[in-house]
Amino acid sequence: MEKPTIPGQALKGLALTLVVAAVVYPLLAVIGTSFASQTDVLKGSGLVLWPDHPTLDAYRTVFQGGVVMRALMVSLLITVTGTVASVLATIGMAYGLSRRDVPFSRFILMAALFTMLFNPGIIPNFLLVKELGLYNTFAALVAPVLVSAFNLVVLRAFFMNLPQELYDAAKVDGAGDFRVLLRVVLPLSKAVIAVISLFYAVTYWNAFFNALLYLDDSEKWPLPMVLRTFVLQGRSMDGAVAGEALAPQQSVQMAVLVIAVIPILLVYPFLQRYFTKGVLTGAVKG
Amino acid sequence: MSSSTEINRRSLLRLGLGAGLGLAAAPLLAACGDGGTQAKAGAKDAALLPKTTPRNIGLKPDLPGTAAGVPNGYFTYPAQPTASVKGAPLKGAKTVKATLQTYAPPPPGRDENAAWQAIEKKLGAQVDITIVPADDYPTKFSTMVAGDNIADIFMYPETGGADNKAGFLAAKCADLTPFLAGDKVSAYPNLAAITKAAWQDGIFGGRLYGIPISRAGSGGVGFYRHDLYAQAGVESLDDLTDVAAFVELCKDLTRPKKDQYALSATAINLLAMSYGAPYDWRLEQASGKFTLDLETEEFRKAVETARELYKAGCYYPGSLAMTAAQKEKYTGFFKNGKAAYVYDGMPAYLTPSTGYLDAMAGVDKKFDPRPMTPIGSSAVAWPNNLALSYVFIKKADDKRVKQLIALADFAAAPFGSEEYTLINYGVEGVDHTRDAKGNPVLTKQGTQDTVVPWRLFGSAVPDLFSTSSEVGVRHLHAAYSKIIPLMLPKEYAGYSSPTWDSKGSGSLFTLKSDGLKDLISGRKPMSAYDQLVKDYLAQGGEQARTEFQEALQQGKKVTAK
Repeated sequence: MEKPTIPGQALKGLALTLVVAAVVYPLLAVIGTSFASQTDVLKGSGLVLWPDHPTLDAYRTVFQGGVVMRALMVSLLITVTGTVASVLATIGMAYGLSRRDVPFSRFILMAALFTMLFNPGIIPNFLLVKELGLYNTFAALVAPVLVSAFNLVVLRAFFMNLPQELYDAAKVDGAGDFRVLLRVVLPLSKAVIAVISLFYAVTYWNAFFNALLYLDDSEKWPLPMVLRTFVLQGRSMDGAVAGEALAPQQSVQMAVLVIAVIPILLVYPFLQRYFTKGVLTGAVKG
Repeated sequence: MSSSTEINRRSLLRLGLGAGLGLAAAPLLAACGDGGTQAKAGAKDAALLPKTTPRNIGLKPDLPGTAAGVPNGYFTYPAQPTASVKGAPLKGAKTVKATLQTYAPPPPGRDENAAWQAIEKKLGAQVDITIVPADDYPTKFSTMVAGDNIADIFMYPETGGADNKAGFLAAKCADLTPFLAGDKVSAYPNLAAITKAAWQDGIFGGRLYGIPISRAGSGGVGFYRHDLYAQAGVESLDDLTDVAAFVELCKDLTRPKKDQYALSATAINLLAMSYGAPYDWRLEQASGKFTLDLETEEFRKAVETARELYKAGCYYPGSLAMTAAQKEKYTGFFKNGKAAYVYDGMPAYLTPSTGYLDAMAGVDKKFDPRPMTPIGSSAVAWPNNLALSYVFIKKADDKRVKQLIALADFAAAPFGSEEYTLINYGVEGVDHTRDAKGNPVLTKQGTQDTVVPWRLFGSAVPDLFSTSSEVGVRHLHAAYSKIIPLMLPKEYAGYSSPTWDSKGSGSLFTLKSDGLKDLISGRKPMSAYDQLVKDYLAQGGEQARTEFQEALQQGKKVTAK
């Protein structure tokens, strides 16, 4: 292998530094602004990297009244229960669809994949949720997105990739389907399950649109919905006379953003070792 | 490896296509509802308008308003607020479901919100309010309509409402004409204070449906830095005798080396009003002809002047292209002293803490922001802020409709009343305390409890008051006193044009604002102005004009009979 030249190394270092700066700068600016006073924000025309007058005012404002804390709890609840429910449903469905002798499996798979190509649209979804009696309940945030077709395909492909001999051996030992899944398949699928769990968790954590559509009661709003109102406050529609809406306090917006980002950021390091393996598994399978 | 459930792309696509077509029709059908009434062009009957009676609960304003729309100004808050509504207007009523849009973060829920509880106690019933961020309101509203899930009382979205608004209102909403038209509004004295001009846009298909959240009429023409203008020799706006003087001032104030510019974002409205351009449409009564603002010589001159200012480098770099979503940034250039003028609405002046007066005092005590007024002897003011929006009531029996109107009447309570105090300052001791002058000052909890948008159920022209700045109230009152007499009547509001209703503040507005930005920034030559006018007319402007003119002729026939 050719030895890297010093200019080449320097260029690579520069390129990497720029990439890292492009990622890290916005994060630092968000954190810096969340600790900035209103005057710092105005003087800095928006984002502040290093506030002259650091203050916890934005965080005090955010936690005052309990709106953000309540939303944080709702988000945690939805993320945990939704992820558990989704992973269980996806495992069950993927396992069933990976077996050869399940009746109508082809039709069920097609129906699931169909949702990847065609989304029913906002209004049919809304009508369905309403008719199922889920309107203004937390279940409306989970049920419509319980199984992701993408995650289903990844997991099914992984299950199909496991050697058939393992299934046969377990069957010979007298194991039923449930025991095969529990004792043979799942222990071998930790990586891929960790990855789809992360996908589901991130989806539930970030979801605001279903909350907007299906929840009337703002006390049930998850954190992204509250964050959205903080970010959008002060915006007036293009056609409206300006001035009715207050210009938002940038530091408060950034404080909510920090609070929203930290929990999900903490999950990544624990799952990263599974990540590459899990995503690549089944990526080339149809 | 083969599988019995192997995916076959062709069969998947076949399945998708067939089912997709079936599903695609569903939302369209649902969205149609039973709005069978087609919107038609027509003149609005003046007899439908509620009679305006100024509300007086015994307060003497420090700066009196006028019947034309100048708000009253107050320097102190009444020590003992008086009730403006008799009894509990919703006593015995079942829970009211309401949907309102908000420009603020969500408030604490009822259980943790002393103000909410106190208001419901005073109303005599529970009011469940679904609060939706303003940007998301059109989406929420569409699903509510399609799912036949509209609330008892709701705001109509500024954009993205039903295609056939008159049809939707006729099918789903209560006709308020029997309850509010003419003298009947006197049963609701707070709503009776709303001006006829504001009520006019609540008429659709020949009936009164909308209750206005009314405003002073004009949103003003932005704010300027009086200290910078004074340094440049302009002690008073009266010194600017014409637009040419303003242009010279802008060039003088633009000092890029000091990072100081004359303008932040757009100044086209200020220039157009200063030249005397009409608001959207000009009606020549004698000929019955409607002329589009873009077609007038005054508007063209405003664009040419804006181009000249851009060429001279008077706009803060990049600010002209900014959209409403970047409002904080372009108003920030003004607030932090980098620009000497910004276009924003006058209600943003006195807002505690984040309003221009308080925010700029926090940056530099020398900054002296004041409301701008149109310049020169040809100046006019546009009636662009008659109402923030309108609320509508779902069809119900007369008793229920009366209860819901009474809720709007409660929300429209005048300055200094018990109801106004509860809505704006919450409960004394919890949400606000009184300062040395006896003025209410919100506590931390109060700043959150009071963002429940009660005042968006209906409102008369809000009065001017500030706990922090008497001078600010004086500046704002002086600006309104100068602007309101210049205000043009909104003549076209007396006539219905379905095309204008659906496109005027939507696609046509976007076409116009994008086209103007291209022209002012020099991306397109001035010769492209005529093409912009042609495109505007072709994409709905001409149709709207035809409908307005038909409506005008219809109105004349009715009057002749």
